[in-house]
Amino acid sequence: MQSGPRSDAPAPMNGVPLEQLKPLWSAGLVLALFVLPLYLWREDMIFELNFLTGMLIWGLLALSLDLVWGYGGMISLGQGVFFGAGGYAMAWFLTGGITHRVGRAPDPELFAPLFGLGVGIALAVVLALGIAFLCFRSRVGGLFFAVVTLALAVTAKLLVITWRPMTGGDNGIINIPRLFRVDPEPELIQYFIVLTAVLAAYWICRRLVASHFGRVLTAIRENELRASSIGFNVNLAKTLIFGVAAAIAALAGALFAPYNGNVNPIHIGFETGAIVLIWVAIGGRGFLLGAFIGTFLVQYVRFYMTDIIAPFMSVTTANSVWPLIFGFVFLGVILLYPDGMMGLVHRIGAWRVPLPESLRRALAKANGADALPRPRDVEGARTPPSGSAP
Amino acid sequence: MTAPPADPSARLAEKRTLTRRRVLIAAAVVVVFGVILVRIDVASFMNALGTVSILMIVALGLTIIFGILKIANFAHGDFVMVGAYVTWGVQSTMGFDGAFFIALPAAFLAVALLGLIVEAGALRFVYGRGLIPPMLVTWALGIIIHEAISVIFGRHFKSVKLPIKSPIEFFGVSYPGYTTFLVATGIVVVVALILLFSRTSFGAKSRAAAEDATMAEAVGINVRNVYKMNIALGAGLAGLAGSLLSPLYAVEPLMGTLWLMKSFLVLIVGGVGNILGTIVGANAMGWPEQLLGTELPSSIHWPPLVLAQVIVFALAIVLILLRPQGLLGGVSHRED
Repeated sequence: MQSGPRSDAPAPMNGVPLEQLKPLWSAGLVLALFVLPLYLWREDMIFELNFLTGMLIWGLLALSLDLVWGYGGMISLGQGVFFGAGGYAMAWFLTGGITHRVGRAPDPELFAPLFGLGVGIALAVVLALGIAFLCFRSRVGGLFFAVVTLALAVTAKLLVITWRPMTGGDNGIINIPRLFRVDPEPELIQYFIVLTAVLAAYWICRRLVASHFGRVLTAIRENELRASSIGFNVNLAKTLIFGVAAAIAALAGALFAPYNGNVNPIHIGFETGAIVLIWVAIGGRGFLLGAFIGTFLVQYVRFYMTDIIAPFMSVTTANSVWPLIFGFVFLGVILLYPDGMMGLVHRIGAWRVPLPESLRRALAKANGADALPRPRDVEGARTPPSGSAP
Repeated sequence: MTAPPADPSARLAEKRTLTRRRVLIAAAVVVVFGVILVRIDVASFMNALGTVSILMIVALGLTIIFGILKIANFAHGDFVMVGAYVTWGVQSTMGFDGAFFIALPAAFLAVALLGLIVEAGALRFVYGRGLIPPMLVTWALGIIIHEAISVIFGRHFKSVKLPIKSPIEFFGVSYPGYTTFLVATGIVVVVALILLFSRTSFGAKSRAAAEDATMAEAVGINVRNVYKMNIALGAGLAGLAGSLLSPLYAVEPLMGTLWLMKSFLVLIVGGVGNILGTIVGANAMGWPEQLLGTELPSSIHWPPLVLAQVIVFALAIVLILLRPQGLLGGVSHRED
């Protein structure tokens, strides 16, 4: 310990806030994401492995809504449409090409998934950009955007149910083969494909919200009028973020189709859009990670608590009770905890723990590298998200 | 709105243009309806008018809640659904088709009560917090309502029987019975609402609260009570509409979403927060859908009803883009 002039940083009272440990726990989390599946696979817990895969996929969808809602400040009820677009496009290609989709045995080529992904993302992005362009051109408020995306979702579901030759109507497309069917361990390979995609998307989003563009977006969310009078192109920024989010949702859909083995109209309709909204609200919007936390929490509780309440009612009742319970939780979170689970995480993050000086130094160095302004720091603790009247 | 010109002759000219425009619009409406009547027979005309009436009542409930409380009620579709379930419940327990007419006021009252419960339980916490928090809260309430219904009654379809099956004869022309009843109900509701909001003290208080809640409170109006009454009224109208439409559509927990979306589009197309605008909007949205539904060539892959709905959504979005303030927006927003 050297004496002399103290550094300009205020001396820690009695330790370091837990938040400063961020590099440690994020490294730990990534490590766990790589190691846990290997353990599950070795223990032959394929169901749990698949559960984890599904969680990552749904989390990706929630991430896309978080970009739109948490950073763009727009409520989209139609995120399922882009998810479904990705899913159906992937399903078309994986089940043997668009041309002879009906009645053909699945025959995936190596680059069919790539085509499916490309077409799905292109479809979603074009749709999103078109909708966003039309909406924001006429300067309509957040309410109108929500209504239009809801109309989009209802219409898309209607179209998908009707357009039997391409979409299989009510039943959807079934028997979708897995991605790259390389034996011997399809589940494990699938998990790692999904994990790679999720990590890549998450990293891109992190960079995006930390960039100049991301800050402009935060400014718009906080006060649209002020942002536009400063000279930012509000409509362009909102349109772009909606497009990016649509691409991510389509990616999630494209991963979901081979994971689930079928896609059906529910995945494209407002049901999906509504449930994702619940996940993001519970996880906490405007943090990116909150989307995954909310998704994981809701799904985990749902799958593992069903067994616990099952003795008191039939399984079908138990299954149908969960959406009701989550409806109440959603309501409570909106009314009482606008920050969701991430608010709790940040409260815990403020706790101080004593750490040796060398470790503290190393952490400060690692933290200096990512000087991300968290959106809530800008916003203040309890202000309700603002919306402009149409 | 630009200020009226000072020159009296110019003012007169403007007045004349306005009158001419109104006459033109009226003539256009008459011509359009004339063409429609020539093109289709009386029965389909009345059917279409009946459906438009239902849409109008749903949207009117939404308009009242939105106009007075500034709350975008995303649970409105689920209020409609509850109204339909009440009708189904009453009719199936009483065991005869005519019980529908008992169910009609019952649905109104039950859903009005539901509106009050919702207000006391959740909505009162988000008054004056902008547009988005109430929207999310009502969306959550909607989820709770339809999930509760599907836990209690299951997700499968219920059917409500038509209370009037025989046609009604008027001046030698026979009209389909039930839809005539719908049209009559629609007219009664519209007239009653216009009178309620323009002629009664309740209407005056509501308009005052809508204009400036703080000021209204300052002059001694109990704004919270006014809000409660209006939520009950708006929700009750949704319940009434749900009851009216239950014999025509499959009754199931998720039926509300379509009506929610349709009525919001009506609201926005017509001009937000005014009753006349909502009436115009319901007609502007309802008629093309009905006519396209019957007139489009039928095909196996593309049923006209589905296609009609898609076209009308597209039409609504284009209309909103052309006139973001709505068809009647900015014209008569004081006439509530």
